[in-house]
Amino acid sequence: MIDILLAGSPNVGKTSLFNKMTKSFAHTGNWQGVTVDKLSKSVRLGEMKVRITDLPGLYSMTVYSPEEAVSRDQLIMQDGAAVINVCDASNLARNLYLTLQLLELGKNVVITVNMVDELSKKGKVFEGKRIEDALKTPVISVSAKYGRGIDELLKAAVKAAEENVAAGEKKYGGEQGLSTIEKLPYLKKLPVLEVWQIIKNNVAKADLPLAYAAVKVLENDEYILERLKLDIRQKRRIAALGDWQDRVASARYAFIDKIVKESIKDYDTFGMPQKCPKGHKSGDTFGCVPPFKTPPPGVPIKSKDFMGRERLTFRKSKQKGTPLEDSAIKKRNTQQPKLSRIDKVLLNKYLALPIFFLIMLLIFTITFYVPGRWLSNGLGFLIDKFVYAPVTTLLKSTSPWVGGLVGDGIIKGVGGVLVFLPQVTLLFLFLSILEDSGYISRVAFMTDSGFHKIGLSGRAAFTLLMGFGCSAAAVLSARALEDANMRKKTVLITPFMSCSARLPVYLLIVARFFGGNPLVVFALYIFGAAVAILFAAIFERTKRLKSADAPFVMEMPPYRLPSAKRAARLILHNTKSFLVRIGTMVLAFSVIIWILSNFSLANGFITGEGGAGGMLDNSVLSAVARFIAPIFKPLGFGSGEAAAALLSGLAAKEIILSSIEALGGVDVLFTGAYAWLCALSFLVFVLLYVPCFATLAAIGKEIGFGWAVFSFVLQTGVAYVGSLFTYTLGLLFVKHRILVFAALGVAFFIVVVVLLNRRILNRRKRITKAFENAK
Amino acid sequence: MTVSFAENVNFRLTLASAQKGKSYKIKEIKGGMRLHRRLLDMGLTAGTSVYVAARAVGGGAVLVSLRGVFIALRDTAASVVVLY
Repeated sequence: MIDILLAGSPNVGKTSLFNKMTKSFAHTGNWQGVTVDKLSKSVRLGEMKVRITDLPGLYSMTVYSPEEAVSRDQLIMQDGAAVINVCDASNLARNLYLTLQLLELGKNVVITVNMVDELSKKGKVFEGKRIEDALKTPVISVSAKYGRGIDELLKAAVKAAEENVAAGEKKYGGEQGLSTIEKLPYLKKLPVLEVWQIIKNNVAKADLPLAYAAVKVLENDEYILERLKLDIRQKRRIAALGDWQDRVASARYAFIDKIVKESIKDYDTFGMPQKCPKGHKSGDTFGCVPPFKTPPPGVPIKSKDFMGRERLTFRKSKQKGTPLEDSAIKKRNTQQPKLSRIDKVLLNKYLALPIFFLIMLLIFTITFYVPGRWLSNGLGFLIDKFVYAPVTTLLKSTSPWVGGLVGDGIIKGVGGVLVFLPQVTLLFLFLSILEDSGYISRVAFMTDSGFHKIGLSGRAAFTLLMGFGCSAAAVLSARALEDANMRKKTVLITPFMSCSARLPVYLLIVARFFGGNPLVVFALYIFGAAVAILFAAIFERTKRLKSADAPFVMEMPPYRLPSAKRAARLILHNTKSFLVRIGTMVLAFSVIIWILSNFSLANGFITGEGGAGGMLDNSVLSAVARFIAPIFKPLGFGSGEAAAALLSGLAAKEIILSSIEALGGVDVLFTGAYAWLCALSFLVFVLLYVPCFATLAAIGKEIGFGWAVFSFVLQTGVAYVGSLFTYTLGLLFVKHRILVFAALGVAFFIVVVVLLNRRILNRRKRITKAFENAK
Repeated sequence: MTVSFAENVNFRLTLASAQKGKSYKIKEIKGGMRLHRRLLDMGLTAGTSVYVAARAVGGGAVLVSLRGVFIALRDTAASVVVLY
């Protein structure tokens, strides 16, 4: 059995290469953390069985996350395996950093460079042969997109693996170490041999390659130091050598910079480009120039002048009539790319956030109004007409309660969720477009500082904003978040972002009691967001949910045109899980609710009206509602009708509206002199309490059943406290205005004093810090 | 040690206080263990030129380009990269 590992930086196309090689359909995406564990598949190459393993992305053999640890461990443990090191041509320097470490590890590597076509578009030529010569490792050009070169790559990898096997036991001995140093000349600048002397025996015991272990020791790599189990004397001797961490990195990068300079060149410095061989297609650049439709400035174009003679012309640069000057060429050659034009706008100080809000607004409108809502309503209508009606009439004629169960319970319940499908799909479409194009990274960059203070990252911004649309879909999108704890926190606070289903309830009540004043609705939304932020901060302080030391460094991917294929795959996958997982839960709950609302303990089956049981009747559900109603008395809406409405809201928030109507309208729920206050308190409760079952199911799916229960309790508790607060404060305000103003005044005073104190403290801290820096 | 605040205090130029649109050369990384290694691995070694492409709104993260790619650093990370 031949083993081949696919290793490389995150996001270079390992997984799509893996898919092409094994003809499978593993998931890819333009964000980190998609490949979370190793993925192995066997293929047949002629007579041999070859096992290919796709490893999670890795920047360097010093790891920072559990996924990277998986890759590192596999690379070290599987000493017989060959490695296909996938590199990205536009990011070559950093990719080669891992390559060097793989070579230090003594692995038999075959390098493949991906995305060379993107380089060509920028007017550069890639010469893989230079890398081959420098590293004495085969470099094979592949186009993962077009699937060419893959067989050749596989064959080379298999050959490398076979060489490995032939080397056999001699793998980790002194000879191997010396040959590594010969292969990688920059190692000569480092005291590798001295370290070697010190750790010789430990290395043999720990079963690690000598050269690799020595370099890692110089880098103060915790993992290797742990595995070596050095004693005090050894540690002291190593410490005496000094701190070589920086110099190791510098040595590697100096070597890399030279290689990159040789292997990526501009057309003009490259000289007259060679003609490409026949059958050559773009993406195959290996020292030749593929034909362009419009070559970049500087590439000669063959053309015929008016007399039919062949001439070479150059496309002019932007300035009319002037050829490219030396400085312009130099600018292109430097390794410090300037921001693309798109980025200049999107990351502009003043424009960035407004643009983001505009984009979110656009997404919202399309998903939740036009055409999203139409599609939803249309689907609802279709289900009603073609599924509900015929089925129920048929079944009800035979047996009323089966008809009711299937019709009102199952079809209405599941249908209620299915109706969301168009909107959810649209949301996922937008999510995948934004993610794939790389925009989400820009947003994360912009909002990171703010979010970091409450323990989240900028990527959470999108999830939370989606929560304004549909909590369930937003929770599902939280999958992309890197840190497990941060994912949990984000998922837990998302329901506080008032989802669009709650809006009809607000509108109804505000219309009746507050004259339709939009400020009230707006205030509710802001309050929800504030509670979300508050809890994020609270969770961050708890031990359980504290975010791990997040990576302080994020790579900014280049803008990419989102690929339709990837989007389609993502949408299919997500909607499938939406339907399956959530559908089953909702089905179960719908049936339960239907049973509860249409059966009473005394009379058996009674025909109730849909989910809420019509005017409070004898059904179990109504009995429950009447039972718990007194709990809500201190909140101002202690009637059975209100309780029933809220209970029905557990299935879906829109149902609250129809329940209220069915039960007699808002005036039945909110009575008394301060009916408006009761209504306000009710609004706060609706804002904060448990979202629909679909969301609970999504939460359970994303972060576990236990957390879903916690979320339920949390939301209910917070809603209760919030309502209580609103009602009692409101009553106080109405009855004893002066007291409230006095209290507010005192609070204001305290806040001002505290803030002032903090400013003074901070100032002192800043001054002492300046002194520290000076030393 | 009483030093008047008005005197010329020698302070470090780090990426956190670097100006957008300018190129700088890295002097050293003066910082904590894991962060230090991570920055080195990403290519922020002594002697490397970086170009400050953008800063996040209201301070915070900074976007730099080096060796052909863009890397975003949080302010805690940026304040550890000392420049000439």
